[in-house]
Amino acid sequence: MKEQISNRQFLFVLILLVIPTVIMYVGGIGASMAKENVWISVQIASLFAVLIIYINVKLGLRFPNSDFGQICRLLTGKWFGSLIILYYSFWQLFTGSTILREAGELMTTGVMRETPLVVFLAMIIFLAALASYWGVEVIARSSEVILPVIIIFLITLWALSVPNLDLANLKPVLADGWIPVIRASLPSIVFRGELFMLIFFLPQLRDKVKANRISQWAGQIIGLLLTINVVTQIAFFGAVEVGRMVIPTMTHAESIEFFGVLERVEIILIAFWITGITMKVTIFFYVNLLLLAQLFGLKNYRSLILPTALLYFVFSVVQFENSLDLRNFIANYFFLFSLPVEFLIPLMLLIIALIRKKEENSIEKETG
Amino acid sequence: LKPKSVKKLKLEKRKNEIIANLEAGENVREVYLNTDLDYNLDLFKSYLHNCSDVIYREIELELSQPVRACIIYVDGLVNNDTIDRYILLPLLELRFKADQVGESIDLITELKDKILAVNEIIQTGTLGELLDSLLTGSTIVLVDGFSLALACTTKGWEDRPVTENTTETVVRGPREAFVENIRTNTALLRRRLKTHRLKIETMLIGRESKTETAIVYMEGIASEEMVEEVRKRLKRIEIDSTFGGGEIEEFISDNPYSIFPQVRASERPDSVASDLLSGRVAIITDGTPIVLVVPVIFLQFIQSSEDYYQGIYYGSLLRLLRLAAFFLTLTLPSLYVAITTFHHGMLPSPLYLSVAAGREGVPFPALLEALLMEFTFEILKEAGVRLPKAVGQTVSIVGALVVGESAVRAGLVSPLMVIVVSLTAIFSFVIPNYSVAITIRFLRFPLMILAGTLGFFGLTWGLLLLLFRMVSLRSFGVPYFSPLAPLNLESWKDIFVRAPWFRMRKRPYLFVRDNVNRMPKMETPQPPKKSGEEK
Repeated sequence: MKEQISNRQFLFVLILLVIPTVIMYVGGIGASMAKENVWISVQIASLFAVLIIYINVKLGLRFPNSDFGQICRLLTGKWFGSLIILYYSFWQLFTGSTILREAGELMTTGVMRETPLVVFLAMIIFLAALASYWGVEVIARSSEVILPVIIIFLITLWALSVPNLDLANLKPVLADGWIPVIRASLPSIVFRGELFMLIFFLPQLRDKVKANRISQWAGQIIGLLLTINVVTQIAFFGAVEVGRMVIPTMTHAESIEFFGVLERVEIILIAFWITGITMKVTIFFYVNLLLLAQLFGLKNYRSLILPTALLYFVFSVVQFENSLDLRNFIANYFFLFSLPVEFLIPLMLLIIALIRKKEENSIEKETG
Repeated sequence: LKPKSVKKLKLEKRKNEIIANLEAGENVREVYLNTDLDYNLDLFKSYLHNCSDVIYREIELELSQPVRACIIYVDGLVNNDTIDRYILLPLLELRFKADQVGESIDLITELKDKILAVNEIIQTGTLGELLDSLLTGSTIVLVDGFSLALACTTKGWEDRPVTENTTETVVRGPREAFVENIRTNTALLRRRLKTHRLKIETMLIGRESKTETAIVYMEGIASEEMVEEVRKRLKRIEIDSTFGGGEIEEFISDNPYSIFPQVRASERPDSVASDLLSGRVAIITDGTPIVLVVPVIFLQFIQSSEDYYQGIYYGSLLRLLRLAAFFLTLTLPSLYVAITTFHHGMLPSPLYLSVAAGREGVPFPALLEALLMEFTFEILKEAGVRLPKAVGQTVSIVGALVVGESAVRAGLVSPLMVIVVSLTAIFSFVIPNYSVAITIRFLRFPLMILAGTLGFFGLTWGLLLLLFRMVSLRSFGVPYFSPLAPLNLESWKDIFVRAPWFRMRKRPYLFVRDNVNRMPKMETPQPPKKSGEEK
């Protein structure tokens, strides 16, 4: 029987694909550029997300019976198509191992200073490999359990900080004009743009007609959670201070006391975040396996798990010197690196498809 | 040579022949009786040589001319009274009737239809079938001149009576438990479900043990594919024996290497009956009071049948309580180890100071301390199960009071550790199902090691691994972690809490396709409307 995922699982996977990193990093990076207006740049990102999602869903649904590799080769020819898949695979490998490294860095700098970085990297990639081995259904079902728990934790975090919020911190609105806000929205857009990976889950989606609606919901729910998060942080600390923090959510959790019984709940945040980041790495890893299998024309990706896992491990170790290096890359260059994958190539493919009038029996036509 | 030794020689020869044939793979089912009684008896005797519990009683039927006959039974498996009164006596008194009908009749059929007062009789000429019946407690009647024989059911061996169940006790609700006898067990179910829909299919499992195994299901509620799948998996089993039902469990599990139980083993007829009504299939094995139920979902293991008999609030509260205890018994020692080893900061200072004061002077790191204590506790528990009851109490007193108390006094372990271990133990007894309790017992140790080496990260990692494993499992095609993943909110009313009965109109969606309604739509019970009185 072919593996299938339900609409709800699709939604949960997409949210979980983006949430772990945006919740942690967007506040700090954004506030360093746009000050108290980060939340506006989040809204700009939400608008862009609508476009990115729309393009990718349209492209995917135009060829409901083909995977991404087949679409590329059909539209741009065998060699150029393979080149695109190669670029995608590389992006996936690079970004996925960066996320993996972020998780490891957080553990070694924040909590377990004496444990070597490679231990964390190896353990997380092991889980990712295992889940991929068990298949997309396992990834989807785990998301159904994990996402609600993470959201409940976040809501608790926000609720506990309500007494200390000072909304005056959010003013003035747009004091420096639009330019810093738009600059600050770029990393946010790129993070949200990771939703392009929805195209790899479309073939397994049970009810494809609603694909666009669900993906748009995913984009907007992420936007909503992120806005609340950013607004809470800035009202809690003030924009200047948030801009200096690497991971504001962590500092936020550190400064909360739970009725004097539990202090420093950041360790619980880390536990949840590790869970989230593992899921994120798993999804990246899984999509990467699909891409590589499509690149080499394999029916089953399982034989690629071990080499790809080793690649992830090595890449995550050697890619960056330290966490500063990492943050610098994400803030300044990640945008240029990601834009083609998330936006330009899908757009190009869609335009080619429209011009050459190529399509399979698309779902919309079948259902009327 | 004397005739007797000739016969002995013949027997010896035939025996060797049969043994040779058996080694050559001859099938007992393809050996047929002859018209000659002596030959038939030889046949039986050669297969059943050196079986001192098999009794041969040769008699003579006084018809117009005497006809030799023989009855064969296994002593201890049969009810001697039945044989004497309803088989032997009618046979010996046969002469009056047979004289009237003459000799041309089919004597065997006549015996079966008119003479033998036994409720179940099989008429067959296959040796295999006769042997099977004989060894399950039937009495074989052989008559000279006929190649057919009668197998009369005369089962009557010592049985344990139906007693109170010991592993799934309840305060309110039925107390009866299954016993070793399969017929008693099917009767216990039939008494609860007096409907023609309750189907009981029987098959034999085990080449040597020939254990009767029944597939029990509700026709029209259990999906036909599910029943067919159970049949298929049971038929696939080729084992020499099954005594505890556990062998069958291993053979029919979807993932036999997984540590999670994928079959529910129950001792309670009422909970099995209610499982049947929700579309599940039960497998009853002769010789064990444990009945297997498939398919199973993980969260079912925190449910007890008492939840349904007590009030809704009590039942719901108990389930939440059990869930908490379940989670804590898995993680409490690990949490203790992680917090005392790596994350002191989480505790408020006064609490941390008292923890640290307790740990002062303890020579081991927290991980070793926890492993040692949990290990000791597991040994105590096992000793309590294996020892005779009278000694068991001594062990628990020595173990708990003397060793525990002295270990703290001697400074080997901290008092808090003793508290954690005791709490873990108490929590573990809350889990209503024994097989899942074993799983948790086993999983506690790797989690402790992870927590002791990598703190919260290790614990999270371990729990995540468990989650991945659980969502990847299926029990007879039903996702193991449903209705959590895949999520189905509709069935949550009977998972973490128990909704009132009049709100649970539908059977669990996982197991039932058609006939989903348990009851017609009805209104919430309410006091009678006062009519007339107030008008």
